Amino acid sequence: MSEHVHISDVVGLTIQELHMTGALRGDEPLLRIDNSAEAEKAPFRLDAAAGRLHRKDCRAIPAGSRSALYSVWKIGADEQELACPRCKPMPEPEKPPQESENSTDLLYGVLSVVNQFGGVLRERGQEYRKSSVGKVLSAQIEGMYRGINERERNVLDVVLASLEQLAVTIRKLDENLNNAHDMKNGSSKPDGSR
Amino acid sequence: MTLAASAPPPSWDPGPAARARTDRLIQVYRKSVAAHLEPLVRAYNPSMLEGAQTEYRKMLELSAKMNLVGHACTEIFGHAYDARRLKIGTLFGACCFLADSFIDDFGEAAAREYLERIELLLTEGWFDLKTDRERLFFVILSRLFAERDLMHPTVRQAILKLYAAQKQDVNLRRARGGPLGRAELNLLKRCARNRSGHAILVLSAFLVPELALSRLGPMFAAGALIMYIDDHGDCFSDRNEGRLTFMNQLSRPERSLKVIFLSHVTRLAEGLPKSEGRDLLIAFLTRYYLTRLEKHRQQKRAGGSAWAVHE
Repeated sequence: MSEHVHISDVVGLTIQELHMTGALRGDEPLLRIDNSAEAEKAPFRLDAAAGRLHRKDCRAIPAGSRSALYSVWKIGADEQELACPRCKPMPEPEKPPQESENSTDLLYGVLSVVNQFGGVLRERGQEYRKSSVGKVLSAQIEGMYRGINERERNVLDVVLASLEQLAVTIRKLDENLNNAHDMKNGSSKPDGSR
Repeated sequence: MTLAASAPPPSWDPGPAARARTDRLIQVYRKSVAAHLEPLVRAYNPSMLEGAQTEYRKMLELSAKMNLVGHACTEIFGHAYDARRLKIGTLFGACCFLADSFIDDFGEAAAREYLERIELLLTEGWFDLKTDRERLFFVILSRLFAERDLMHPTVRQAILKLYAAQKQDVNLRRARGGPLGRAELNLLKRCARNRSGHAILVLSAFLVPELALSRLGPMFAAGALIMYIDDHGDCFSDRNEGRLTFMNQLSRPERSLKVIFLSHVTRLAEGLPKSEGRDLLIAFLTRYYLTRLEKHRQQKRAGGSAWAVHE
């Protein structure tokens, strides 16, 4: 692997190629950048074309600015100079619904776990379910799964499916890297035999 | 270089020091962007480095300009333009160049298919990779996304709005029979405004942790001005390819662009606090305006080609 080809490039490309070939199970999204549904609920709008701040439904927002509106969840006292004189948006004490997190830290965390245990996650899960501790826990776990609402269950399913997709990807990546390593060391076959 | 050498400098003119800084930085960035991009192109789309490398050189030139604009934006928002930000500016420039090529260089059907695939990328994260160029684009995009908390609401909104503007541009740009009415002309003008207005906010959102609301309006105006200037420079090549833009539909475009330029730089000078970043941005826009006026005149004399590499 060239020094300029990062492992993250290879992982990213491999995930997309696996999806294209149908090798990934399920149709869950990988990443949703589109936040238009959440943005619609924000209380304020910044008209970037005019540099003016409005309440969400202000009628003074020019028609030509509709495509330049940014949703704003919270405004500061020092932003009053931008305020529309008609709707007079005021600072509110509540926090925005979307707290930004460092998603890359989470991704690296997940990658490190999956890299170590990915190949045996499902098998280990089945074994654990049959163990004495697993039998005791199973009723509680299944009860909890039934008890959470549909949205929470969808989130959990996406997380679990993503783990499985990552496991597939990293296994494939691992095979490719091992093959490349073997070839570099003079072996013409993946298992090293000649 | 000034607009009128004999007249006193206008109130928005950042002065000779800012112009000298612009000249110096663009030279620096022309060299540094190649160090970031050449290995990526060689690894993922090596055919771009074959022959005259015209396309590759255009990509470097755009990335150098993005770094200059990014440098100014970063300072306007109160931060220093460091090595990591240079990398972000370079990736962003290359990303814009490749995205524009998918829209502009492979025909109408390819442009629409690309837009559909980008929509899937934005809504679900999946992107079908068919060519080496697309692999290069995806790797550059992934590296750019990895430099920032992509879940930040402003970053997400700016990306979506840039996509919407590109989509609208593809829908509007095909030449129709007969002259355009005022409403259609205004729509083209807004579309140009949005394409580059949102692009400069995407770039800024990748470069700094928070975008102060009070700076968004002037920054959006700066972005819009870049697109009007750019479209004026490409007026004849766009016409040759049957592509409608606001600027190539005006009867006296040079005069209109001067009015637009002066109103936008005045807004920047009055709407942003005095800073080296503001002066750098205005100096860059002035330089870009003057070089694109000259490009327009050259193309008028010689006939336009989209593949000439201009400063």
